[in-house]
Amino acid sequence: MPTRPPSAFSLEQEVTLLDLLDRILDKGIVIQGDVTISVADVDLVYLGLKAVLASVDTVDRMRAVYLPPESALALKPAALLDLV
Amino acid sequence: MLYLYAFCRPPLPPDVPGLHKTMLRAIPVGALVAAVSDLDTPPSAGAPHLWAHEHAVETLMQTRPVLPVRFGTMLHDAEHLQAVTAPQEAAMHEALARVDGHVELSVRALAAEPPLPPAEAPPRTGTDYLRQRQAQLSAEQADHQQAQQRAAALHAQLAPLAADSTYEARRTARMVLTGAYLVPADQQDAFQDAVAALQTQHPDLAFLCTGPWPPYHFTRLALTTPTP
Amino acid sequence: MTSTNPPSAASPKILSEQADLQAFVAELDPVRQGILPPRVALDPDSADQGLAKLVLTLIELLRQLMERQAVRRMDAGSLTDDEVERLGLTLMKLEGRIKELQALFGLEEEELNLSLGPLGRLL
Repeated sequence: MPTRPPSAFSLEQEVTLLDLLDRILDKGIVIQGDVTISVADVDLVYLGLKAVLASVDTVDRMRAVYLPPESALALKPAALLDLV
Repeated sequence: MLYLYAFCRPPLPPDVPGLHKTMLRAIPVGALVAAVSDLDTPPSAGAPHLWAHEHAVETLMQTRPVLPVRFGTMLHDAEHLQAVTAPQEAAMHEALARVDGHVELSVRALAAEPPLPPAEAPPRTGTDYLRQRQAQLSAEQADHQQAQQRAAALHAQLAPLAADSTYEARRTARMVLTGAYLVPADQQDAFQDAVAALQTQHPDLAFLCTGPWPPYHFTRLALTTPTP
Repeated sequence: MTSTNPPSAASPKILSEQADLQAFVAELDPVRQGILPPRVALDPDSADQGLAKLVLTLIELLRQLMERQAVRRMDAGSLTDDEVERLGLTLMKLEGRIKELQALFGLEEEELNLSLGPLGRLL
């Protein structure tokens, strides 16, 4: 068996592990579709959220382009204040 | 189920240990092989499992070029694997040729802790408040541009020593550069010298170079399961 | 196959010298947090806190989006002085209110954020 870092990490091991994490979980060949990925549940939630955010941004940009400046106060923070 | 480690050229060396005390075995994928082992359930992403995946890939990499697979990838069976890989075989050959004889090196540059911004008087009117935010946002933007330029300048000194490279500017406020470099295995020393030279030129930054890693950043392959 | 200088699985990975490893560990830690986000533990004891964190984070996100929009409109000169004052005041109050609620639920400033896994952080 290859040697594994002991549970009490030294600084070297800690840095190396973080560097490994950055590559092994995020890079390498990605297989999409009908595949089980151990972190997939997590990924899916976040990808979904990211999609929502992307569309918020798109709407934001579209509004900036299509709406005349007079309608600037279409945004109503006051309504949000009621929420909290 | 099959747990996937990497793709490489056959034959697979014998007795390479994988996750959960399994041994790697080869499943032919055209003229290549997929290095897999049999697992019932996906592994959790704890350090021992991550290192087991990494060690398996590195063991293969000692004797042949490899295309590492992202941690945690599982397929149902050999047929499933064939369906996923068949359309991409040519691309995999190309990628293997590109990484052959190369290793991935990581370079990060860390800036000193930025000084705290001077405390501003709390805004008393709504107009004050928006003006303060306006100033903060434009300062952030200027800062952002400066960070982009700085990262690009550092990267430009390392990129010529690599066959391929990729970088990210300012992953965090202090992390000026996060770079990955595909370096010929016999030129790692020259690359390290270049990093050391950068360190001398930029005493205000701390450089961290790690490796050699399997070419995780340079496989450029996304395989998709064909929809039935 | 020309892997002349093969890496060994057991070989040390840190190639640069004299790096302040402690600083790197501290700075890279969010990487781990980002990739391996702690599960939101919705157990009975902390359900309120978990929910408050989620809701406040989303509201803070919306508030910041609106704030940017407001600053953009102000830059473009399309708001009257009165509109600037009203917008600024509301955003300021909203920020204060969110901070109050955050304190009420015992949440730190940094906790008002969501890790988007490999995609980074929400705010």
